[in-house]
Amino acid sequence: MDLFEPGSGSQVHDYNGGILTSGLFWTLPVADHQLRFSRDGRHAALDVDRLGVFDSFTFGGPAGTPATVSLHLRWSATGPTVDRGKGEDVPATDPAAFLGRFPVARSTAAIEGTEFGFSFRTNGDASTEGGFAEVGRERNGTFLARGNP
Amino acid sequence: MVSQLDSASALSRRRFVQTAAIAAAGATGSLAGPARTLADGHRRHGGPSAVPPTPIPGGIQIPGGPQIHVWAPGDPSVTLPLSGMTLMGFDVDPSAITDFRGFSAVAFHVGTAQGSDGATYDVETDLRAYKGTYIAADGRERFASFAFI
Repeated sequence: MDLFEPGSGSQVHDYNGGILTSGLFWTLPVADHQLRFSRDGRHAALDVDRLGVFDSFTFGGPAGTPATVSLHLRWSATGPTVDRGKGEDVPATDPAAFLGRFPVARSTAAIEGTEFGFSFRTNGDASTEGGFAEVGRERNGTFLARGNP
Repeated sequence: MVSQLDSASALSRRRFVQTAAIAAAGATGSLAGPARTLADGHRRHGGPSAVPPTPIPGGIQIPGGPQIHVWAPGDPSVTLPLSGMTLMGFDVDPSAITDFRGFSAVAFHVGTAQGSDGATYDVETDLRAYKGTYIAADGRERFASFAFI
């Protein structure tokens, strides 16, 4: 997540989960109880406190400062659930190499972050008004050949 | 060891946006492995342990830099107000994890935040969550929850 100076529009903070040697991008494990989805996949909640991340200040910044973030996110579907993706009809490197069922959603986020010398807190909830959200079920990779999402 | 994408200098979000647009057009290029290793911050900060999943084989190719194993799913009519990034479409995998079957949620939030320095910042996010079964890096089928930050 990124913080920008309102005046200049310059990005000044970039909190992210880093990249593993495998290339796994910005993905961190959380406890199962911290991430909940409704059975129909149309609602979700993520509640994590003081998750360890880095502040690289800009996207792909050459160095990172250890930081923690607390996230309280909610997703609620606002539209019909729609089939997405093209599965094995496209190469595995294609953006559509998945099969899923997703409705467009609305999401809100209350976020706090702390690092040495700086902290921030969102003013109220950030929302996906002017952005985008979706929530649902999917499968990709080897699971494309193994039944429904 | 804390580092970021293997680039000589920090990539700006706008550069990323331009890259995402190229990727959306299909010019993803070849797989470029991450030349530098990021520490997995969740371990440093004592989060839950899990055998990592494998990144999606595709992803956005940074011109002159690495491929990042993630797409920017969402309504292609949406351009995020701060980064200027235009989303790539609905048939775009929200998952950064391959060999995955389960729930996914993605949200691009917009808002403001109050900093400890007294300044008000504009905020933009790309936050995602995954919960389900995956083939882990050790080849075993596992179940876990992940946050994409």
